[in-house]
Amino acid sequence: MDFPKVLRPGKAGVIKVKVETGNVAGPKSKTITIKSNDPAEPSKIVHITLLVKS
Amino acid sequence: MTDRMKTRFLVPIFLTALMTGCSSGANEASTPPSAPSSPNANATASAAPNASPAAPNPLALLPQSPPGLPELKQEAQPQTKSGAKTKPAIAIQPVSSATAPRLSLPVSNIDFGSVRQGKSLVRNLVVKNTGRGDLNIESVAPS
Repeated sequence: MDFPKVLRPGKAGVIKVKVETGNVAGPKSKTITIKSNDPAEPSKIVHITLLVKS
Repeated sequence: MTDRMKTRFLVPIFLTALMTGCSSGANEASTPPSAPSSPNANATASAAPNASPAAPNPLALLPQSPPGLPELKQEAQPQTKSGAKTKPAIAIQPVSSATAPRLSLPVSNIDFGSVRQGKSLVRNLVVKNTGRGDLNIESVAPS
């Protein structure tokens, strides 16, 4: 996954999230854990949902 | 003259409403007798800055409270500020809030919708540093 290593205060970056569907159809849910030096929340979780169609 | 007539009519109605109705209105009616005691509290509050002349304004803001309690609060606040140097748990918080980075996500959920089997999709997840220090993203890992 492509993500910016350092963000200056006030700056924004983009994390590229790539999903590769397998060969099993149905609803899928994944989570992405972002770990940083944020003392309030050292790890943030992003939920990913998709529906794989056959 | 008509205004006085109105007040004469309004006052008995208000009093009957107090008699029949809410007890909180009766408490409000009891506050004017305590109001003459507030100049006495002002006198004690004006005398209190002689004891602590550093911050007379908080005492002036609380003239009706007993003068002993605000003095205790004023003593307690400098104690926590000076005590923060000795207690690390208190000292960490102002330092981190002043210079800490903050990772903020506009969304906490990405919906890719429906994807055909065997395909791959890429979505951009925006990450912003709303803190005051450099944000180091250590890892982004699926789980």
